Amino acid sequence: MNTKLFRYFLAIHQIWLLSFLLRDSWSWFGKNQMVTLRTPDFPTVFDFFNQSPLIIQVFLGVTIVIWGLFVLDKLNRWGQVLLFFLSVSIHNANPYIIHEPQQMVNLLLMIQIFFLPSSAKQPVDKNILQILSVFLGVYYLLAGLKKLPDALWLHGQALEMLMLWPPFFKDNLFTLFLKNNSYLLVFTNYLVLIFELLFLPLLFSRFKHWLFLLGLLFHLGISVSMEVGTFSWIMLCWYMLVFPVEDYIRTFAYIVKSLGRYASK
Amino acid sequence: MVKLKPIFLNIFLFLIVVSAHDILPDTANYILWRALASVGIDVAMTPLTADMPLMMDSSEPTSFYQRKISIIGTAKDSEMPFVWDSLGFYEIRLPILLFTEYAANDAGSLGFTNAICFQLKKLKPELISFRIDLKPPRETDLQLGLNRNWICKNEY
Repeated sequence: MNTKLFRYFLAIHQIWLLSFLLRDSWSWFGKNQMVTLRTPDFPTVFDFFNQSPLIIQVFLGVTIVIWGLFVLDKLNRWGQVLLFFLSVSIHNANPYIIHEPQQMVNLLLMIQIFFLPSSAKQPVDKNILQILSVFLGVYYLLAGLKKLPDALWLHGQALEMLMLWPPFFKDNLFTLFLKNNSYLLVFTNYLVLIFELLFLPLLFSRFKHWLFLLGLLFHLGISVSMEVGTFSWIMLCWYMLVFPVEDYIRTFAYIVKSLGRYASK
Repeated sequence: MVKLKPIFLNIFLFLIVVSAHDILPDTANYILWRALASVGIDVAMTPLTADMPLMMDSSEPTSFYQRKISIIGTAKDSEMPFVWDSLGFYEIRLPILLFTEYAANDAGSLGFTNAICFQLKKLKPELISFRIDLKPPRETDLQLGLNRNWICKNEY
């Protein structure tokens, strides 16, 4: 298994976010705020500059270009270290990305530098893949365990209750459909709990492929219905590492092709 | 020969889990968290939906998630409500969600206060302070930083 798709997903996420910053960097980096808003003593390259808009634009532009090189597999190990340094600098200077996805990106980039091959074409060590799989499973397991003591989750009312909270749910056709079908909300409530609690053991069983499909639907559902930023996208980056997604795509393409042939006969 | 990379990766990921779940004594956990946060990898491993017990009491009809949220800005002599849906997600709504989460955990929320002030001042330059209103109010609101005025500094 190689890391091509993983790189695409990771880089698209960052280029997308950085392009927003590039268009209007002051909307994120208030004057004299970049360094002071979050944790003042964490390192960031902005400490050395006068926080001028031009420098910020150049800095962001260079970071986007380097992410591009990363996708194209033109970035060696030292280049990746530079990319990590730039990403963490923006993260430490920016008060608004104190949110799980950016920490995840930084973590995945660090894993890429130290534990994955520097080129996307090289195969990944199976032991490393297994450890990353376990971490993803533990991530879900702990999220599930944290929900368990909550009576709302246990009684199947959590999603219904969250729907009543406008800051959290997106107002669209999908959520309208959910709101009108409360039995579906109860079903999804329990499905989420079971998925999170059983993800780890099922990951090492013959149900692994189905787990990928369910996880994909689970995160697409979150993405469409909840205001949780780019959380789902970053979880899919983990999927690209943990599941043999290229094999799945090939199998899917083969099935579609076979069905097409069968239909034309 | 023993492969070192998988061992290091195991230790590294284990430390992230330990830090995220406050497993160590307070001081040790803080040192570990700071070390991870300084390189931007302080993964929290806590989805917002798992924090519901923090924010709401299921026996309480006026719990956090069921109440109406609004942002009220104050200028010299007047109050100006901001329509929640008109506020940008990353610019204001997300900092507010994080602000309440951090305040609930008794962690520093000053950074978020500054961030919210900065963004609201772009909409209303005359803004002096803001308030996150949840209706109907609850006794615990003040501790969570809700329903009270947060003064914005002048330099934004």
